Amino acid sequence: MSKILTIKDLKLSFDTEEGTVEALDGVDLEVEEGHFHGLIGETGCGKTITGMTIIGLLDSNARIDRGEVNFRGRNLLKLTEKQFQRDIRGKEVAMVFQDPASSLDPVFNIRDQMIEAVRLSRKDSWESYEKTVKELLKQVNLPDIDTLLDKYPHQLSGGMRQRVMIAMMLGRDPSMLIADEPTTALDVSVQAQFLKVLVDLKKTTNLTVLYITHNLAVLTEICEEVSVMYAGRVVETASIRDVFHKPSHPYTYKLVHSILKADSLLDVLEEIPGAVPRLINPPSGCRFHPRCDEAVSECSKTIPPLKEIGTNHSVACLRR
Amino acid sequence: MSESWLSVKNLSKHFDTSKGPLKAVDSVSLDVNKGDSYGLVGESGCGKSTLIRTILRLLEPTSGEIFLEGREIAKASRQSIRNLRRKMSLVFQSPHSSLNPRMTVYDTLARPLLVHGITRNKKDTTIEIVRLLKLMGLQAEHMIRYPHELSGGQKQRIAIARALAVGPEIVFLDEPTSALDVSVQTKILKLLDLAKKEKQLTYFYISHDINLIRVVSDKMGVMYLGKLVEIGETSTIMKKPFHPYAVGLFKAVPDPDPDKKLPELLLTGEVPSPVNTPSGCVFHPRCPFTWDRCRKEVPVLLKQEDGRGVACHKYS
Repeated sequence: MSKILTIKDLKLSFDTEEGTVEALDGVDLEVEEGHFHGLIGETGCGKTITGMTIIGLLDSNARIDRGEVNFRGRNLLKLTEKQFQRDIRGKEVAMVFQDPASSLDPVFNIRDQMIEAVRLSRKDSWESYEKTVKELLKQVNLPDIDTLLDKYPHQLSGGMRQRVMIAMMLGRDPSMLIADEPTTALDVSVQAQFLKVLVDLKKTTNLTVLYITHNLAVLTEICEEVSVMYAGRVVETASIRDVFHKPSHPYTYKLVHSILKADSLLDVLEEIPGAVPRLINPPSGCRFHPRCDEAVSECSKTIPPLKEIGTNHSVACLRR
Repeated sequence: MSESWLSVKNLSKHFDTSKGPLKAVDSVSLDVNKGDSYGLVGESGCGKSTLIRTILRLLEPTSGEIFLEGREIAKASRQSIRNLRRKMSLVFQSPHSSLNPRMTVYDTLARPLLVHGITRNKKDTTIEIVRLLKLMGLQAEHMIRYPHELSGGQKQRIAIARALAVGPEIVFLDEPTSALDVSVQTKILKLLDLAKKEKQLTYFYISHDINLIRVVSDKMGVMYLGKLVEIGETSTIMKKPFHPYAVGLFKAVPDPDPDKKLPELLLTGEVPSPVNTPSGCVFHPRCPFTWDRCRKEVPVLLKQEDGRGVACHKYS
């Protein structure tokens, strides 16, 4: 077992007119090669920013204050844009975004867009490109591929577009995929089809996936490990089973017990008082302390480090 | 039980498009009892939002009847609808776009009170607004805030307070929590439940989230391509759905339990376009049990032994 990605103490902020937004404040994350790793959190917790940092697509007003992002032993934060393009983006790490409509180019048909992706990784004849494209589209369970190739993105449904995105990404054979809320814009029945494609990929390839979502239920079906983020920090990392059955951090506990399940009753559902804090002047110490039932005065002073409490289970809470 | 409190009969709403009529709501019939919570579930584009907008007369029905307390309102005049607006109100999905960014919470809540003449002077208005804010777990100090100063959950609570301001008897809730984070969802649902008990309200929820409908509703309907395919007691349907679409839809919901395996895929393909819908049963191209009759004959909602209604030839 080896770690394909190790993020250490990553601190990142944005300078805005209102002040400095401390978007990431010491993120620690390790992803095992070949595993599906879930990254979960609410709006504004920094999960997408973490993904964007790995793939080097941060906005120009982002400032990395400290930390490392090691991918196969290479610190990605040290790379120039040219190196990123040549060695990493698309080739080693690919990303699928929430909205498949804006990720595809509306003026090219699926054949041309797909061939473009395949052509980047090897030089060959057009016939061979098209053959590869068809195989890729088949791999993501898309029906009626011959007519699909001549279609434009607007003629496809959301679920089909998202699968085209996955096929395009597979065309360059990356080692790692960052999936940022890929099913949030989709209906449940289409979401189930999309998850099936990922599960099949898991069986047939050695792809590592960092799956970013706010929906814990989706993760249970595909991920081995989960990291929970809150207000710019990872507060707990554990196996999917431990997150559900033995959540340790008070935030994780509340989150898990606020999900609507098949046997949920309104009276026993957990609620978290207050709202996610703004990250301009975030709460001191543990950023969850103003909303936490178990908080003591120490929690507002000391930033809890992520420490191991069991096999592959670490948590950032002073009370644990 | 004799007459239902809110009764919709063969209600249709068709839109004309360049490609032909779009049957957003097609001959829907349902009954809601006073004091109940009705839940309507379906995927995007199935017509659930159009249905409630048509019931509220925000859209003019193409055909069909709507009865509220025995009074037909589908053809009621504009003037008499104004009184109906006090009885029926609506909460929209996204509080980020349903609140006017240039109005304070006070202005937002004072508007319906003044328009409907519920309060006539500033003092009464303020008292009523504070009461509404309390009901939604907010404080009087929130009155002077603008929407951008509130969190998503707080904004939605203001939107609910606005819907309750006119003293409605029924509140339509269009995906009330889907724009919010899970941690605040519970809070909203509990507040809605409290308000319902305190004011003896009737709720009509629509959502794509089956688990939400399961938790909040007494009776429910499953909608597909403008038609109701199954209706009945929520507990009965949730225990064992009959209609093949409902079965597939319920199975497709990810179960938040890591010990369960990914369920078998039952729904393949995608929802067809509501313009030029499939012949016969609209679900037949995606249905695993299709036979000849399904392609030719439109199934009607038939009452089953346990009281539910199913529109499927398998159960006729």
